[in-house]
Amino acid sequence: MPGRDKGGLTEPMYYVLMSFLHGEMCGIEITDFVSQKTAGRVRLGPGTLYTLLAKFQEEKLIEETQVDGRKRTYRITDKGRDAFREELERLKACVLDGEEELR
Amino acid sequence: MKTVQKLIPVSLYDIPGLEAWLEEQANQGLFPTHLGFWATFEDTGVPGTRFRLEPWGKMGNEPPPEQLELYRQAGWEYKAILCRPYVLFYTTDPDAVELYTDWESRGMSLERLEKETRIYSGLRMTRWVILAAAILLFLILPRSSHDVQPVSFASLPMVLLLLFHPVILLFLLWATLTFRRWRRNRTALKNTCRALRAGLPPPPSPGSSRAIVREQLLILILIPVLVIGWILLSAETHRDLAIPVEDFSRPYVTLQELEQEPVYPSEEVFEEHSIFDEPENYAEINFSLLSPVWYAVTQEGYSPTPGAMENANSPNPEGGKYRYAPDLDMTCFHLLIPTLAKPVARAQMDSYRLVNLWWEYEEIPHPGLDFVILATVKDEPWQMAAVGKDGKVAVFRYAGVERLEDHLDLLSKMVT
Repeated sequence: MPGRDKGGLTEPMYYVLMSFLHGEMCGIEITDFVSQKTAGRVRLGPGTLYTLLAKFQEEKLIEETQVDGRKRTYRITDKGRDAFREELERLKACVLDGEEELR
Repeated sequence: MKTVQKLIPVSLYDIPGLEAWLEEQANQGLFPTHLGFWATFEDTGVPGTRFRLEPWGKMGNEPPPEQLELYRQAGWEYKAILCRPYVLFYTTDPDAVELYTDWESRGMSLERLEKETRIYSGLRMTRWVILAAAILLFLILPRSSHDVQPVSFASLPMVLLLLFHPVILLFLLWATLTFRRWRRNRTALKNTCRALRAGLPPPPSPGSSRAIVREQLLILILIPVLVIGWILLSAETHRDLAIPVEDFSRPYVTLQELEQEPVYPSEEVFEEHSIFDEPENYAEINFSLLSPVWYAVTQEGYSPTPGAMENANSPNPEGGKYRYAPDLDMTCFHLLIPTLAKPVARAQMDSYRLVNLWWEYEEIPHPGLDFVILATVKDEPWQMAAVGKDGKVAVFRYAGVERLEDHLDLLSKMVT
């Protein structure tokens, strides 16, 4: 999995990366997106968000597009998109495995 | 505005413990303005304030503006205070979302701090290893490239005595305490990071501890004590604390007692003072808990008759005419452990040894003494003698026309 030494993305990582599929985002927009998307189930603390953005940037999953004073905007890279798809496939496989066993 | 200082009763790397302690202080109306070896508070604390510690930014910088903005929007304020290795955020809003909403991201935020601590620990260990290797080399290697009779570890008994100097013992205590503190901090951070990486909450904080406060207090007190101690120690080594023999009251063998002909200090023989501008007849007091009595006396005398006897060791103050100028060095120990007597005598003889000369050692019996060691150099005026009885040891180095062996009764008075 790109950007992770072992296992998949964590839930906050998954949703933060997902938020960029809609286009360029800044911190507060990401927090709002995740909160709405999960109906408040996943809350992103500012420390978590800042750490994940720094980590994604370091691993080139996202890149900075604009700095407007204290506001910074980012977009997903091709590598980031691949990482998200890969995680999505993994989660789908997990769900399928679970459903099969339940039947 | 009142300020209050408190010693921090938790490990600096027990992050949950430190945050909880700051929150306790806020409940007592105290707000931190400085966190370091101790904490300084103002009386502006608001009960219920939450504090969160974040590692410093890259290269020890303050948090970047975008981070501050994100935190501010979530209700967390930044307090620019001296607080290595952290920066401090706080909120009085009970509804403000926690800075970290999952353990793994919290673990990631501490990665750099953990790495820096690991590197620092490595450097620290390397420093100690280099120091230990240097000490070992110092003990093994000859004192000079001209040393014709090197003895490895000859100075070991002296090192042992020096180790039991109160300043050295205090330094070792200080080093042990700081090492313990460093190890506790490192273990706390390592355990926290390991748990967070695994997606688990950090291990529970052991909480405030009086032992940590006592340890911090001791380390703080020891720092000025050690500084003063080192100044005094270095003054001793630079002869700043040398006592003129005429003011020295402890027993010693005078140079004149050894000599058949009269000899006088340079100031009585020559009009001018010594060209080295240092006292020639002086005593130095040392101390070790293993040897509460430990002093050395250095004497140099001059014959009043110029050119009476040739002596290549005397200065040449009178245009080529040599003047007889014997000298006598003596070191006396009263050791608390008598078995150390002979090794210490040997070590002192080795430190007195002129390294470019070949010395012949001989041990001879003498009534009333445990041992007598004589050392001579063929065709040279230099001699050494060490006498010991129980824990008392006296070591002499002499250059002159007399034979120390003929004066053993006089020398033995120092130890009987």
